[in-house]
Amino acid sequence: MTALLSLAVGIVLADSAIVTLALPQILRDLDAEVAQVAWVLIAYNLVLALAAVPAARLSVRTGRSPSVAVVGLAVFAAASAACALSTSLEALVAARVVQALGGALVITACLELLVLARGDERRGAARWAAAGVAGAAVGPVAGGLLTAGISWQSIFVVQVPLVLLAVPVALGLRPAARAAVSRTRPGARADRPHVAANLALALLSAALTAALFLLVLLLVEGWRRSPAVAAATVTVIPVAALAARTVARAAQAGTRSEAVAGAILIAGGLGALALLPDAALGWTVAPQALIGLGLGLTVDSLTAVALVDRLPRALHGGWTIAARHAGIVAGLALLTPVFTADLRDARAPAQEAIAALVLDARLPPSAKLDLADDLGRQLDAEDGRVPDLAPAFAAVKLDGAPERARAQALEGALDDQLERAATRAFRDAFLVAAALALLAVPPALALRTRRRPRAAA
Amino acid sequence: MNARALLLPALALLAVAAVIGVQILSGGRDFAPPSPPDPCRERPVGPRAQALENLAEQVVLIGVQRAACILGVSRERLVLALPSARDRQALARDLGRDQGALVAALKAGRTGSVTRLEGAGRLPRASTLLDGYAGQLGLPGFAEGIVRRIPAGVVDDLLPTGGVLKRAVADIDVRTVLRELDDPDALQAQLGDRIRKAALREARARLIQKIPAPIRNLLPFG
Repeated sequence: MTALLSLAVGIVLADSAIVTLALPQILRDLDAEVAQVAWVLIAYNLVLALAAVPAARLSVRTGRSPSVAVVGLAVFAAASAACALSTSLEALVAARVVQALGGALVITACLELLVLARGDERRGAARWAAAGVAGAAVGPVAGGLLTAGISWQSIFVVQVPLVLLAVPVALGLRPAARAAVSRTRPGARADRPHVAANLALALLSAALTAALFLLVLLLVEGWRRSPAVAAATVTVIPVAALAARTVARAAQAGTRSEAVAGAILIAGGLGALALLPDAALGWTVAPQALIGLGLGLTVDSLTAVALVDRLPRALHGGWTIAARHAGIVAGLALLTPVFTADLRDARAPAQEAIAALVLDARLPPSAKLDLADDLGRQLDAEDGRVPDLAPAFAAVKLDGAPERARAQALEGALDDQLERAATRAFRDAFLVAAALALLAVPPALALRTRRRPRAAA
Repeated sequence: MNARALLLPALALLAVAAVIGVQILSGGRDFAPPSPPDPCRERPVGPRAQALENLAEQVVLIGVQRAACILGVSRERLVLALPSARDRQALARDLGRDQGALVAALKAGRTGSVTRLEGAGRLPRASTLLDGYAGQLGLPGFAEGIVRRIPAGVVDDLLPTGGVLKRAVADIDVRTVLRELDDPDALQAQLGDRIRKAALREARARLIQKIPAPIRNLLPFG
């Protein structure tokens, strides 16, 4: 029963990054630019950040009625269907806004429902936090696989039946909910939000979004890997996040220690992504493992700290969601202009490096001129994106095996230059994201140490 | 923080240092497109060209590099800017010069290029290029046959490659070349015409030189 509620929470939070791997395809299908298509992510996270606390207040005011969750699930499902049917970027962004409004209701109402269903505050809240972490970590992978296997629209179609499965579960909890409400502190004033935990969550979410958003863009747009390959590559993060829970339980170092270590790992992983020595996928594994471990150590423990012994729970759940998604929006707003400007600036050095290789290539001058013409056309056609050079090389007329071998070597060298330029273009954005993660260390140090419950999830 | 609480952050720092250390040692700081080489550093001249096309390529590449050196810009930036009038204007603006400076640098570069190839002994003899060139002259079959049968010694004597190229380079108007970069056929026709005229003038000058001075002085050669 609770699994379906957790699934709904996971899907709502997965949606904050689920379209990351679909962005290049959305970009092409809806004829948009990188900065515009980022609004598919920004709109959802911004509205979720703004609506989470009001939605939580509504949930508290309606006596924690499951009807809030049911309405939220219905709105979320309808908006997901609208996303799938969108034929313009504006329509997609509008549907994402409505989806986030529904999601805010779902996520805050489900916190209470999970606590009630588990019959224990800490276990329920831990389940809610863990579902959110799992959703956020798995979202990009699931989105990438669906995009590669079917289409970007399928991401939204799949969500409709999955979230609606939670409706009967929410309705079934109605009697228990009423009984449980009486066990809380009726009439008591709401506790103040946990500033340090929420601030650290906001900063780390900004950094983590950068990790997923930028890494996926680097893999798909910079290194021209397929969404399926990119999805398979970024599975390292959720796998490492799961492993982090085992590490944390074994270490029993306390939430403050976990949060500080996690922030260091996320910052280090992002720093390592800024210093990749090659465009081979293998080089991204260790940085991703650091980020995944950091994610697993920080987000659910910080969420638990922000929720524990604070009432009303839904309201504090709302604050954590607001903090996380405000962080995501801030991260996207800060980093998108950084890397788009760097991508623009990377064009000239890449063109010069390509020109140098073509000028010095040991090919007949006429073949070089044809190649230069075709490469120029390819660059113009891609309109600032990293071009596919293969068609230009396929079109050029060459005589004999030695010339073809030299052309093949030249194509490899040009691809290497493009990968170098793209990787370099993402460096500053990764470093800014690493700095955001490091900024989470002071608030993490301000937390009071609390041992992790042995059976947290 | 107690020792137990410090262990996890310490291990995190260690893991981060290990990953970043390995990446830096593997060249992580330098994975970026290389900076273009200094155009004022002469590159070794390639082998002697066996065809007109390769000779033209050598002249152009060395000439563009020399022009880039004069302008204080990379060879690649100059090459990328040349095909488009807008890019040429942008380059001239960035360099704080006018387009006349660009044209002058290209002309000086081309002349220097022929001198360099000649000095390095890499200019091919005209007779080795004649086979390929005769086909491009557009002569009737019998006339092309006659051209091909001219003894190599005569060709090389009348048409020293360096002399012909220097005349052609002096005659070719860089502004016209730049204007016609978008129309390769017109450009090729114009260049071919200039080279033909340069060859004729060089041959005429050589022939005149071969006439004994007393007779030459009596004839109206100017």
